[in-house]
Amino acid sequence: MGLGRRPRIVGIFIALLMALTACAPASTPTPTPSASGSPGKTAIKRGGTVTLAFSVDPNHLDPHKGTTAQNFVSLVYDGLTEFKTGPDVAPGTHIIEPALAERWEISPDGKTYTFFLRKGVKFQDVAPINGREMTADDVAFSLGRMLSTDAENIKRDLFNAITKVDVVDTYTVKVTLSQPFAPLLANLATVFASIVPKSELNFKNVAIGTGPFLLKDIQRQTKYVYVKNPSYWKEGADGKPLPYLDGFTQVIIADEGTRTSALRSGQIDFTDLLVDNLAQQILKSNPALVDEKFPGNFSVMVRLNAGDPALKDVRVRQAISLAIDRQAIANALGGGTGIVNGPIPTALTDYAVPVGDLANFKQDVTKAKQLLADAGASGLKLTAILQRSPQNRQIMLEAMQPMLKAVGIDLQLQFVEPAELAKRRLERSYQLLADNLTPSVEPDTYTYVEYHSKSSGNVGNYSDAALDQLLEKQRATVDAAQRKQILRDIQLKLAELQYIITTGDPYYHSIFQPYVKGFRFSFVNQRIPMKYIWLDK
Amino acid sequence: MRSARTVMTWLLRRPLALISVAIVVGLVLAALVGPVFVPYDPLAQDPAVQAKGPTAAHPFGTDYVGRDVLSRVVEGARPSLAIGLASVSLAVVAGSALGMISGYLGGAVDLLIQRLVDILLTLPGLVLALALLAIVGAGSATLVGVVAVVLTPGIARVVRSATLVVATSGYVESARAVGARDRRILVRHIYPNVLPTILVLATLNIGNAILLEAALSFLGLGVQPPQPSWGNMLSGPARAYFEVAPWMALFPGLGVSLAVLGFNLVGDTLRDAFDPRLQRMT
Amino acid sequence: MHPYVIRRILLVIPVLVGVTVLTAGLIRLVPGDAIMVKIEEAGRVSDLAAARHSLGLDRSFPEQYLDWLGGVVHLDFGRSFVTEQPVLPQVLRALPVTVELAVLALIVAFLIGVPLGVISATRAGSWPDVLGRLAAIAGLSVPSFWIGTLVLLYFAIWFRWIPPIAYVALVEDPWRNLQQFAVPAVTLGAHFSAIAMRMTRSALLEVIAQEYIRTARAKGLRERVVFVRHALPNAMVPVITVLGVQFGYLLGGTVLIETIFNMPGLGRLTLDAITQRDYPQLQADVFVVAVMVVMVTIAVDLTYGWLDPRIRHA
Repeated sequence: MGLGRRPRIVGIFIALLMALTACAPASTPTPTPSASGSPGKTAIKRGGTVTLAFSVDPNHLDPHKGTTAQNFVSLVYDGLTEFKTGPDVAPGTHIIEPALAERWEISPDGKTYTFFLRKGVKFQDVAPINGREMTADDVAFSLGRMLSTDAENIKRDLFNAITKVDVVDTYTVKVTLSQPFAPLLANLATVFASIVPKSELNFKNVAIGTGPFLLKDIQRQTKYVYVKNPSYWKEGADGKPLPYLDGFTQVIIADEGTRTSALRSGQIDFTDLLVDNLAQQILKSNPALVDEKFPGNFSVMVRLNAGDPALKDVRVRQAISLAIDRQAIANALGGGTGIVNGPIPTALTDYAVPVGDLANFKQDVTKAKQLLADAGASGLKLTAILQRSPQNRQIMLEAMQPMLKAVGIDLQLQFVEPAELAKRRLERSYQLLADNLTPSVEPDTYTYVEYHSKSSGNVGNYSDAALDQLLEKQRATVDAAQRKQILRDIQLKLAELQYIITTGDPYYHSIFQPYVKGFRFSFVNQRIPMKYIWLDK
Repeated sequence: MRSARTVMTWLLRRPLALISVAIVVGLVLAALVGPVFVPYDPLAQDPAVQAKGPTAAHPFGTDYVGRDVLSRVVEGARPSLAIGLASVSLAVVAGSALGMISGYLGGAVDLLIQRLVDILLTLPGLVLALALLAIVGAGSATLVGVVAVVLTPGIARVVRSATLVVATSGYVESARAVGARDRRILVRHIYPNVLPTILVLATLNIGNAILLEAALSFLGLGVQPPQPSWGNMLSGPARAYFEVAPWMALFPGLGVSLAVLGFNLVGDTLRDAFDPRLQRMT
Repeated sequence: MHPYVIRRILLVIPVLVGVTVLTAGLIRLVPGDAIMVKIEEAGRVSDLAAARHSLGLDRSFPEQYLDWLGGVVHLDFGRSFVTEQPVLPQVLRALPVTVELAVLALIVAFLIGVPLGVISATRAGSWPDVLGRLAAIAGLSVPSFWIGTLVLLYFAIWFRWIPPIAYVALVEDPWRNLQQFAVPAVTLGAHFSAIAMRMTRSALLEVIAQEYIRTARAKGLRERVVFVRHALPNAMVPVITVLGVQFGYLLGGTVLIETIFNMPGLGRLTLDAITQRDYPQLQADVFVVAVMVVMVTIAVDLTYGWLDPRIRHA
């Protein structure tokens, strides 16, 4: 019986399929041996675009709501101040510079800030703003939004020390605080403090700011396309307005494996947060890529609910801390290497106390068992809730389980969805919660926000009078050296209290194609360095 | 029913059937007895060998906290197979009952049951499973129930068709004419004739159940870590590490594939065995 | 219109209502709501009640559902809890991705499965048959999300190539689009090829044994002609109807492939809607999928019924 046509057709199809898949994409960059990449040696070239990837699609564009939009509008807006970024600024440092405010004055009692705005700064030339000038009215309007009590404005605490905003004249704004607030200028440099045009615009759908790039095209769940703002106020090293690039694209790639595959195949030009072990793989196969390694400051941790009867006793909490081997956990997180974090991540070199100086941080199984026995809690059963993604929570908890078992604590894991986790966190209805601390360069975020009994960020029922006093003092102390000392005392105290069991962070890499110049990863980042990138192509 | 000898001869003449039976028997044995013989405790972590590739000491390599992958794959066979078998048993019982009643009684009962089946089949299976698991809470027991719920409608529909064929046969008509009670007819006449279809469906759906468990555990809703199941070994950190340490997800994936392959082949073989047309040809 | 057709279409309505009620009800039983998702890590929310009220979450379930149903009748599916944009355009944007994936997967399934089925039916027991069946069933047995990940990884390592990551529509750039869909479509299609193979095989066997084939042979027509002109076309009918039914399942089952291959289709939209507790989005997604599945099923039933009068009245 003849079979004639069928197999032939199949054969043609398979050949077609192979032709399709074997075709190389149009943009495979051939890595050129870079000329040591030192800035200033090569003349800056303008033009070109880059593609980067981000993992989550923001559901809206409003910089004053939620925490995802900021990654997508950080270059569309500017703030009153900004953090210095560039090739000479190491990832862990933060230096505050003027941005839309060209200078400011602080009253002697530290409660009044007067910002003198830069003149002649124009909003982007997009309807209905049409490139009009930025004035104090816009700043006042934006500060009002930052202080709104809308449920979605979850970063309000960054600014709630502000009690009054006055427009003095077209280019001057006066901000009054309830008390001296050391973190103010740093908080104003975040994307959460973006200056938006005073208007009726729905900022969730529209983004028009003073920033170096315009958001030109949005394809939800797929990609965001930016083009340069021809009338940007800041100048580059060549005397002409920034940015050097013509534009860039952010593509959404949810899966981490796919992101690395995209970098490998040249479909994206750089990635700025690649865990060490994955990065090593890529660097091995593409040695021409430029790489920088730095410790993370996300601080994967376990939040203990001090309101839970099992965890009320500080000895139980200390026992948990003493039972675990933090370096082993950090290594598991990093795929071989990692750094241990105290209450303030080690990456924040300006403020972090060395882990060796902190009590209860060195593994001591005997002492842990003793403390548990003293507290009458031998044979404890605890449940930790966690989200499936990112996976670092699972890795941390799985590494902790046998360590806790060795001192007689039975730790169970319970995966929950983000919606349920948020609910239980809000209700304080959990025992242990695996999470990471909000990355920041402001130590206030790691201390006051998390532990002060009146802070809305305190979701673990933490309340210690002596600690509260120190936290308030830290916030109000503007002198850097004094503040650092207070923060040291705070960290030592936190190590005693062990409200939050911090573990560690992996080392990360920022990796980019060798023709990308002027880029250096920064934790205050959120894409800001793109302003200064140029392509040597 | 054929004698054992005929079955053996029949099996030997079909290499696929032989392979399939071998695979299934092998897997069941591994699941039942394997954990006794594994070189390491599936939960024991050794920080010194985190994420290392296959070596003599660890033939399948180690995972992200230094556990032996081989031991975990063998240990993981048990929940994966157990959940698969348990959920299919439930689904087959429920689905067959619904299908037979629906096909035999016809009328309003049939209409109602068919609409319910249609509703459950039109709803995307994953949506149903995710919602149910989120409501009831993830874990092995609920997983069995949820997978059973997802598989039941499909079985009900096929059993109903098979029932219709039998119910409209002369034999059943005459039994009814004589005045035999419905229950008697169902048990004595319908059921035995539908049984071959049910058996084939059961074996074919074990594969689906195992795949569904893998998918749900992959999404974090099945067997909770650190207990290994093939599904949860494929997800989370193993996937994030896939580039640098593919063995963590490779071997559990092979386990799933092999198990499903085995059961599907058995089902396919059974289908052939019961197919009158093929019997005519051979 | 034929009474059977009318009856079939009327029977669809309770199914659609049932599916949407079940979906709306189930998702509201799942802990956490859209507000919880939006507040993220906030420890205190200033006015939770007001936020809930603005989304209509403080109303009873029947009220919420009937309100939604009322809108559906006017083709107004409401606004997303998450983006505040109308929900239907999102669904319609995601639909072509999933449909294209399903169609291409079915074509692949057909192109692989049918020849294998032919071999299996005409040369039962031979080595090509055994190997072919093994291959097809292996395709059915391998978890698609696992093999998908493997394929992506090794393509990237060996060929420095992965399918283009940003989706482009077929009409915009057919070449790039097909590049994107090739690997996922084949991954999915291989899965279903076993079903196509099985159906082809059994349908062919059925047909070959029939009277008119024997008659054609008796007439002296050559084997090949008999096969190609009579047996195969008739056997294709049940194959196509089964694949039509599978299309329905495919529409609901592309989530994992879409996630791994980064495709903005209905599966991911639905999964995101569940995760974010975006009730209007989820209900719209499920409704659209249900309508499509139902339409395909009716089309299949009608075709089958038209061909085989016995089935029509069952």
